[in-house]
Amino acid sequence: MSVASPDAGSSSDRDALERSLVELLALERELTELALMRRADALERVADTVRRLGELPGGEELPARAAAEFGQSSEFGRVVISELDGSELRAVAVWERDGDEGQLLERLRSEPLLLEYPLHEHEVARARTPRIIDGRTERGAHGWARQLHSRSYVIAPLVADPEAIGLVHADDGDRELDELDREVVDTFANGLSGVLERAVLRHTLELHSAELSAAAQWMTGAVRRLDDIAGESASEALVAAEARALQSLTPREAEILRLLARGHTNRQIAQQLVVREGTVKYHVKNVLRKLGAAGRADAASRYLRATATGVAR
Amino acid sequence: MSALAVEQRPLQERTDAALARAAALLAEPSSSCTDLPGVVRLLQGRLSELGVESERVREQLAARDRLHERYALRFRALADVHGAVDRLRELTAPQ
Repeated sequence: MSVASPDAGSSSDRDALERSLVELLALERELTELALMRRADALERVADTVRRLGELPGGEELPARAAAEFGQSSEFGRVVISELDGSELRAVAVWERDGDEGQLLERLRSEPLLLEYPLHEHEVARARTPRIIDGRTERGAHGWARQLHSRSYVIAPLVADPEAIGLVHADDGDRELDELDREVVDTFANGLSGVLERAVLRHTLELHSAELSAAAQWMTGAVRRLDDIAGESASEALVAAEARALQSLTPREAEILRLLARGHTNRQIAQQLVVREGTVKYHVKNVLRKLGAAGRADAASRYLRATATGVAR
Repeated sequence: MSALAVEQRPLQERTDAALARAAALLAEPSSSCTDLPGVVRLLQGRLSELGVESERVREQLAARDRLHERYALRFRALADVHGAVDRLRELTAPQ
């Protein structure tokens, strides 16, 4: 049967063309479904990775765990996480499916990148958008790609409020990366940014809490020493003055002072009391003025001292 | 490499073979028939010229549209969730 000239329009020619079209449409659908499943599967695995990282306590080992978890759950052969330090980019974690990660990390650490044109890393950090880069082009062969010999790679920014704080670089040997790879790395970088931001915030709150606690202890000790040195009068005068100041606060101001002493930000206080942040700022200003406090920490330490001595609750 | 990526290889091989057969039917060189959507359009055009209206082709096209719609909905929902998470991060970011 010859169907090379279907213009002839014989029944068998038409059947052959129809069969061919139906077969190709079915294959196209299978390919599309597989591609969509791959996308959904890859994004789901990234979401799992980010969820696991979010459960970690944070700390210095977080970038290394992040690189390893992402590498193991994705189709990349290598993942590099780096941090921005001014105009320098420093590698902080490396994961490789095959290779000596420690040696590679040392090598990258010994040569931080200076972020400037024409580095793609510079553009990604500045624009805060991910890119797929062809490492075989002259421009694409710079940056980490020069040391990693990446044929094709993705760079995505780590962003925190709202600056780029680092980058994620991912490649896979000779494989040419595509849009799905870009989307996967970007989704991971976005999730990791949130995890890092939370870890930093938690650490900052812990530090503030420890500082406040130390200040309160010191002040309590100072009051006791004053009592010892000057008798009851000095201490009583100080406590009485502070008690008067605290009693001059309205119930709302007292409530805000209590939350402020717990380390809450204005925004958190506003959310808890269901008022606008501007209203909280207004009350905080009044509290500081009434207590004669130099700032929030001073006001908090006065409140904590008063709590310790039973003047405030 | 994921199981899905491995699964794609034999499917791609079957597709390449089907494209080669279609090229022969269309009397086109194989090298010019490597783009699947392009060859589908060529075949559709040729059948249309011949006045063929195929129920089986219509079914395949409808199934393809349903598949796109199903995943489009899923990915739109996913994009919405990402957007919501981004806005939440902005709202809760330390000042």
